[in-house]
Amino acid sequence: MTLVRIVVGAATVLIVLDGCAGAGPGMPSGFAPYDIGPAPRGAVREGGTLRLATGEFRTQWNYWHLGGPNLDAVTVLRTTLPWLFRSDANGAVRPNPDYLRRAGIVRTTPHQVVVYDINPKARWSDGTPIGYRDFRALWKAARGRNAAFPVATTTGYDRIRSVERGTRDRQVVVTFTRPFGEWAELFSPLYPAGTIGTPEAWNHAWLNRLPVTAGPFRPEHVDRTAQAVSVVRDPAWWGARAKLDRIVFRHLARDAMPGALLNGEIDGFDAGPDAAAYGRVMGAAEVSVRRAAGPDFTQLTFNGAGPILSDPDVRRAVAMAIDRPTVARSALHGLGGRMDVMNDHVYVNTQRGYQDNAGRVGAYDPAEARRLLDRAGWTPAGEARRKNGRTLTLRYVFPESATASRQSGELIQAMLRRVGVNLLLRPVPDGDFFDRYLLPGAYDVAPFTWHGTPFPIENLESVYARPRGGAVQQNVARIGSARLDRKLAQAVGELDPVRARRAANEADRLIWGEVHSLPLYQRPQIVPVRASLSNWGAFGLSDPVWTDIGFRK
Amino acid sequence: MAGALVRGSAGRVLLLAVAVSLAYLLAACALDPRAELEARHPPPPPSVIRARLHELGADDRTPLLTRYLTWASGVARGDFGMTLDGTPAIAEMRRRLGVSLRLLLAGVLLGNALGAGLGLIGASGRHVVAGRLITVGTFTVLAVPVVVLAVAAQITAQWVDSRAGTRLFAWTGEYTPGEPGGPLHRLAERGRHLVLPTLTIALGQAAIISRYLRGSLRDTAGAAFVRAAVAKGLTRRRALIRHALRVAVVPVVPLSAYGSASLLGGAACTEKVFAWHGMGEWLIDSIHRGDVNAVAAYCCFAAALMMYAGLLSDLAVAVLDPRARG
Repeated sequence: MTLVRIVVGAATVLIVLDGCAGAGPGMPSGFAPYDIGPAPRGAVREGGTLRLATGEFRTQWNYWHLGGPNLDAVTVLRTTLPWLFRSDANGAVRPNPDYLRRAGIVRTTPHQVVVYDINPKARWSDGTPIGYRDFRALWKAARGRNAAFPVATTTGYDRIRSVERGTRDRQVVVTFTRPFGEWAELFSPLYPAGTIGTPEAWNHAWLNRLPVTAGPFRPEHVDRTAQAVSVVRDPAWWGARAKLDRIVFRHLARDAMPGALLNGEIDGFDAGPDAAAYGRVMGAAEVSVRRAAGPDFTQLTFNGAGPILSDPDVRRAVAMAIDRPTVARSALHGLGGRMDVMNDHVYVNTQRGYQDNAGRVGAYDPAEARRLLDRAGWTPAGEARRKNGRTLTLRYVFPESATASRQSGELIQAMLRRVGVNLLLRPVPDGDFFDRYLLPGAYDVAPFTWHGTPFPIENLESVYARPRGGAVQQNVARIGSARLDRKLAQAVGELDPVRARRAANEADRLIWGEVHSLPLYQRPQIVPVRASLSNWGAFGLSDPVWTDIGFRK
Repeated sequence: MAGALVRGSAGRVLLLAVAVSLAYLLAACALDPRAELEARHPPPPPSVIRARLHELGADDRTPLLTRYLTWASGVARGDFGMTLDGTPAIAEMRRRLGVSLRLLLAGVLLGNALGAGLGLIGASGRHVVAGRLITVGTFTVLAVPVVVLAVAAQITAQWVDSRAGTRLFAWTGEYTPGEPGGPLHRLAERGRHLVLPTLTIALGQAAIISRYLRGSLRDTAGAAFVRAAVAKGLTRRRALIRHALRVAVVPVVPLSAYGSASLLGGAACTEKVFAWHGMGEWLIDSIHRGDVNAVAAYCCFAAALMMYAGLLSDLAVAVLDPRARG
């Protein structure tokens, strides 16, 4: 409970400080990092069914499988499988005592060695104790050596040299070939070795069922027609007893969620930044809307291989001509809150490690933008600038169904016109956006959202490192430098969390310097819930404590 | 007549094969299952993506013709391939077809009956005020998007519930998953969930049918045989029902048949707002995901359905229309 109070206290301080900073009357306040209707366990009623809406339904319940859940269907696994670490609202992680007694780095030379001591009470639902064999099976499948295991990611696992038994079955010794700072992300969720150890099991054991689990809840029924999964309290659970009897996760189309909540058919859903859904449930009886700053952020990526934006000065000019607070305000209009400008590519504003690295590029300065363009040889000629017979026209490519991107585009278009840059809005089919425009580089500027996690460093290289051997990976900006590559590698391999955050921020300063992309705003989480629901809502970066969730007495 | 039907059927089967092949080729060209996999963060290993696409028969590096032939030979054996989820497309389609049928059956029947009734009243010309009201009502329903109609129905139901002080309506899904109860309770639950979607579908269907039937009846009412019937002493209403209706209904039958059939796959908005996981939602979601096999399977189904609807409407017309008998 202390954790919840401290976090809420911090949130209050944040808002008060914002108020002092000169937010005028009537200005919407900033979003808290965390808003879940906290209540001590004693105030939560025993029993009850929680009904939640999810935006996807999967047939494959092996999280690590290529076809496994990657959106909110993961919450089903969070209630039923071991997640070894737990994050707080600022993205700081600690071992989850239900599964781990201790976990930490015991040696760093010649190799990084991590030892996990598993809680002796921890057992799979078939009675087998959780042990080193489960760790080893996951590593062998996910390290990507055997193509017969279709894996969603190999990050981290490809750096492991061995997974061994320690002094007993419940002690796991993991040795790395190359150091990996965010090792705490690995092995969550954990699966029983028998259900993932062979390609056959990997592909089929978790199809349409959850055969073996180890969590406060166990699966009751998977209903493919209604696309719903129900889980019930597991009597074999060794940790704190869950307050709820049952949780039902239903896949609903986004359009159906507000109506379902209003009619009492679900107890909560994540509305994302959907102002229409927010408007419909706002003020309804017995509904409260929980709002927090989420882990995701929206940004504008520049195509550094494009004919015009290959010049860093032009990219800098474009970035400085965009009034980001105005763009953020417009995108979040109608959501009853305000977001601070984001000046970090690695950490979101509410995350531990966040630092303003923007420097002058982050400032809105149209005069400087004009000067930079003049210097780059783009001379004013009527509406748009020209150079060597070429007009300064940029293609702003966005998925056609993304209305927020269209609105932001229209605003940015007007802002850029003032400095003599012509922005062409080009909507493209949603499915083609990444594959047919961003990857081949058929764009100049593109807005999209990166998903955030408490582990932001490990995937930085795929986005910001220089493209290698023709494969751009996810660095669709095609911008980078040897210096940045070294810094990123240092951040990923840095084992001391404080030094790792420092290295990540140093890398971010370089990213700002090369004007790879322009972060626009941290996205809010808008979560309408039944007002009596406690300890559930907008979690920000934190992980829910499923045993404490329930309805108020 | 029978000969014509058989000749027609042979032509239809050929047409079906062509339509289905074109649908697959179009889906395979336009959709890109690679996109969703490559856009993931963190990115899956490229070798894994390649293997996965190959397994689905959707690898864009295999020539289109080869992919088509593999798919077509599967279809000939009744195998429509795997969806991106790794489920056989045919199994998923069967499940969703059941959902769509349960969602639409009552709505379509009610809509057609209601449309016929409203069309008759509108055409009889005896109830001027009622006729005007029907005209305004049907045009309103036709002009309003289904989503708005559905949400309006929900808001009305909410108001009724608040007046009644109890929850009469439910509108999320076919039933409440995970809720215990006997078979009778379950049946009642399904009924409660059906009311609003049925109304939404019936209204849309009735609006179209009534407009067409009214126009068609008005045309027929002026015909010589109807005037003759009235001259022989029948009331205008009786003449309309006994003589004119049978002829007037002929052009409406294909409309109703094709309209109902296209609803079976095209009720995506209704399905989404009321959270039924039926055929329409499947098509939209599959297109978004770039799921070639699912879209192709859907197109096969839609083409076959249209063929049957045409056959059925031809048969009905043959029975109804005196000129078609010979």
